[in-house]
Amino acid sequence: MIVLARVDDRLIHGQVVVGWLNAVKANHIIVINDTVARDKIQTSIMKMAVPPSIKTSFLTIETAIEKLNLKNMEKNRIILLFSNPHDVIPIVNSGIVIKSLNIGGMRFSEGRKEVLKSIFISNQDIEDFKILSSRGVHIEGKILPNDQPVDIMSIIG
Amino acid sequence: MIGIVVVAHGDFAYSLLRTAETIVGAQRALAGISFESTEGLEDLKKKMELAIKRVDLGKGILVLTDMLGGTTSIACLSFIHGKKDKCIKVISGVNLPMILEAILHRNEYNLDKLSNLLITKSKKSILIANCLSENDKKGCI
Repeated sequence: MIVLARVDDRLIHGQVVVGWLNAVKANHIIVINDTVARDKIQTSIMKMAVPPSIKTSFLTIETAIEKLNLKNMEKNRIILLFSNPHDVIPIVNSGIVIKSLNIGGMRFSEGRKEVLKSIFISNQDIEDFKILSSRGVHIEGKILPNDQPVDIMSIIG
Repeated sequence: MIGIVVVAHGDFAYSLLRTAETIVGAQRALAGISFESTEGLEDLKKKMELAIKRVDLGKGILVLTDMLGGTTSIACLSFIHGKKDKCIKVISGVNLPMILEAILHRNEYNLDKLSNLLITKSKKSILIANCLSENDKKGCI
């Protein structure tokens, strides 16, 4: 079962591997990102850097849709990591249920506005959030497990 | 002398080095790198490159990092990935006994031996300290 779906442009890092992993009692982290999944060097480095007790997978969006629909996914407690909200849309469209999307790390770059401390979003992100929200996904800003959740849609209107 | 670089979240590396130096005195070929959550992997790798140049005395470099799974360890591993020379060793889980051990023995051993020594010694430094008392062995491993 999916215990957390998170947008974090850093993908695997301390906040996720220590903070969130323990808070949601997950045992499997799945990174869904076409670029990273096809980059053998990056995936092997990230796998090395994660403690061996944690299962990690790096999937393209297409493979993720196949694998997440398999029955045996039910027995694991899974964290899904995306680097941007756009990649979440095809997953939701495929019928995989994501009730709430955690927005935890979207760093500043040109043209992005800060909507929450450390969360910067572009016009494209706003469009993507609207699509996801219309599909019934709650968009929740929350960097760390103990942070007060913020309803992103109410901020961006 | 083996050069040492500590890479850790927040101010941990600086604090650790400052503390170590109050115990064993001022050191050369020793550098700390901080990592703030606003920084990216590339920023961190650039800082590592500079620090490694600064502490390199030709006998190898020991990179000590705080936590597996963190961006710090990802940066360390991607930094050494594909490097042809094998003169950089990365060790995770840095703590005060480890850095002290590294400083005290870096003239005496080569990089491989020093790395192995650090792992053995610093693991031994982690224990339920009550168990050192003869009267309190309950619950000890």
